[in-house]
Amino acid sequence: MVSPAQPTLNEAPEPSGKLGIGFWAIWLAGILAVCAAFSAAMWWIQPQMSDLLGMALGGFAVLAFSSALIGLAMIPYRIRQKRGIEGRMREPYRRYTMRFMPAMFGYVVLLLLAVWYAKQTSPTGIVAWAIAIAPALPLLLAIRAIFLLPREEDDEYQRERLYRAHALATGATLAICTVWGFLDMFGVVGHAEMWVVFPIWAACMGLARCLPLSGNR
Amino acid sequence: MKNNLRVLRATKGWSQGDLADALGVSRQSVNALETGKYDPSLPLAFRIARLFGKRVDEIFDDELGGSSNLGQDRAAE
Repeated sequence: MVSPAQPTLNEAPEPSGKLGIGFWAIWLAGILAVCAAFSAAMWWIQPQMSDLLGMALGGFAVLAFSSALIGLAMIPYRIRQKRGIEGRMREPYRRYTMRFMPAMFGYVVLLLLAVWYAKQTSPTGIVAWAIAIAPALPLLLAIRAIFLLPREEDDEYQRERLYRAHALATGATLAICTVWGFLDMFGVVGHAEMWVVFPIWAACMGLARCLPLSGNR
Repeated sequence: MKNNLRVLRATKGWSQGDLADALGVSRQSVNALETGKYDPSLPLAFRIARLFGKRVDEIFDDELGGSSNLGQDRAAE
């Protein structure tokens, strides 16, 4: 009879995925540097964005900025992968990336083209509608990718964490937008376009994913 | 819910990654199960029990009874 009440824990030590405070400080400094570089580049590029070359430069800056941010965001994951903590990217995440990244690329390209075309021709009627809706369409694909991820996640613990983060992000977005809406109505804050709800939700989701929503207890 | 998953894993000499692979879940899931942060679904609990050749109630204890039966073979029953 095995009596596991007094076991000898002769297991191999688990590799640690913990990264030091020095690493996180450098990582955060890197993100701030990328944001500062992007702001400086856009400050220089923006006055030239009325012509096609300026628009192309702007588009390039946005894509470079997004790539740098994604690259930086992946560094902790890559380190954990090297230490044997993380395996290869799992299939649901691979599918998510393959859906999300082209959608965001399409969004940046269509947004720049739509803004440029609208400035050139000042379209009206059905053309104006088509131009206006064009940048939103790839974002719908991005939203689809976001909501397919927890559905396709085959690890029940990870799925639970994702759904909890979704719920928290959605609640926080509702709270922020409701309060902002009333402040806006009474003219005490600046007016925001409705599309900001997506970046607000994404930022809330990013923060929610950092919280220890680690279980169902 | 209490469980003796860490002990059972140690008796087999497996790492968390080994157990995760055997169960077809992520290593983070095994860690969350062992630290008691996450209670598995019934199908996963049965998969774990089958893997260790035990009954579910020999691995998981809902603590309702007051005293834990974990790890005890109920030969006296």
